Amino acid sequence: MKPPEFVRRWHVHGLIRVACYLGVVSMGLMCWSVLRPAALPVVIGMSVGQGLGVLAFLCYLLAVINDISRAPPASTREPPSTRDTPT
Amino acid sequence: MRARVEHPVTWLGYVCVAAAVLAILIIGWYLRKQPRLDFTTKLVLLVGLGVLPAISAGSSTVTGMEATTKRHFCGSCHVMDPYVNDAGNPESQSLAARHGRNPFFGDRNCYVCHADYGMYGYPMTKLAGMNHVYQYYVRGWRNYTIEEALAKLHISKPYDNLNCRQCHSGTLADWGTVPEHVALEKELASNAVSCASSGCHGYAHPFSKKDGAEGLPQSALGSDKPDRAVPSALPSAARDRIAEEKRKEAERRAADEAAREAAKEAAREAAKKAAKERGTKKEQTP
Repeated sequence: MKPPEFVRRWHVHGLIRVACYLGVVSMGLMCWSVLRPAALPVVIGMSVGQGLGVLAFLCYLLAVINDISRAPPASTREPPSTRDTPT
Repeated sequence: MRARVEHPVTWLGYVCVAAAVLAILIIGWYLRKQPRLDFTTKLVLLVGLGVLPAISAGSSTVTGMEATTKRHFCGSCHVMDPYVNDAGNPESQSLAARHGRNPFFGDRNCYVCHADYGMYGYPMTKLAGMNHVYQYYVRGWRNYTIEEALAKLHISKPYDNLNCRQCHSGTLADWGTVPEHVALEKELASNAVSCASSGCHGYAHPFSKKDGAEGLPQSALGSDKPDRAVPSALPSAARDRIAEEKRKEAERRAADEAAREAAKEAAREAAKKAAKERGTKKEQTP
């Protein structure tokens, strides 16, 4: 099964970079809620922080799916044994 | 002046921070090195973007939920300062402060008394808390002075006596010996009369009421003010019932006292009689 065309157009490394930045922000917010347990940090940490964390993981998953779908299927690759055999 | 508030970080909080730091280190490594996206890199990134953030999110949720039950959390909005300061004041005699000194409540006394109970109690309490945060940051509560807050902000619905009766069970025999409890049973069950009202057990936060110290119980006021005055807002029928129950209770106590006195008198008579009989027997013995 292949992902839709518009998803396949997204660059794998770009998606992972976005995931990384989102992950850093989300963990910063979650740590803020733990270190300063007041109303606003806790609410933001548990809503925006966790939401961004989920988004980061989805971006990573999408990147991995894209990467796998772009790689040539194993059946079409030339087996290494035929290349290495001396003629 | 705002009281200095301590925020002790629990061990779960340290787990959250440690997981976040590790995840950020992995992410930093990827962004700096930009390695080829082979199986190992994907696995490392799965740990950095999936596993460690999940640990961080789980522990921060538990820590956050636990923090929302603490008194210093309620005090993070300045409009709650008078209530939080009073509840933590060892000299205060208000109902809230006396419960705060009880180790069963401790620094969770705001939550234990104000959380709704029952099946949907927990989510409904959290929703109400979210509404408070919304009102504070969006609807302008944060701009109120303490005086304005005391005048304008009130409990959103009548305090449920059920919250008191979670601990002070109405099924105990002692509860039923208090005339006011017996006379006002229906009113207490329907929240028409609050346990924490002037004339009963006193206001939980007396400074927030117009009649101020009148809401404090006798123990806080000294002996010159009447304790357990009949709440003035009650209908006359309820007042009559309280008077009737008080009269019955007084009669019961008088009858008990008379019975005890009669028993003592009978015991004294029996002892005298026994002594007299012993004396007669001694005289008859040669």
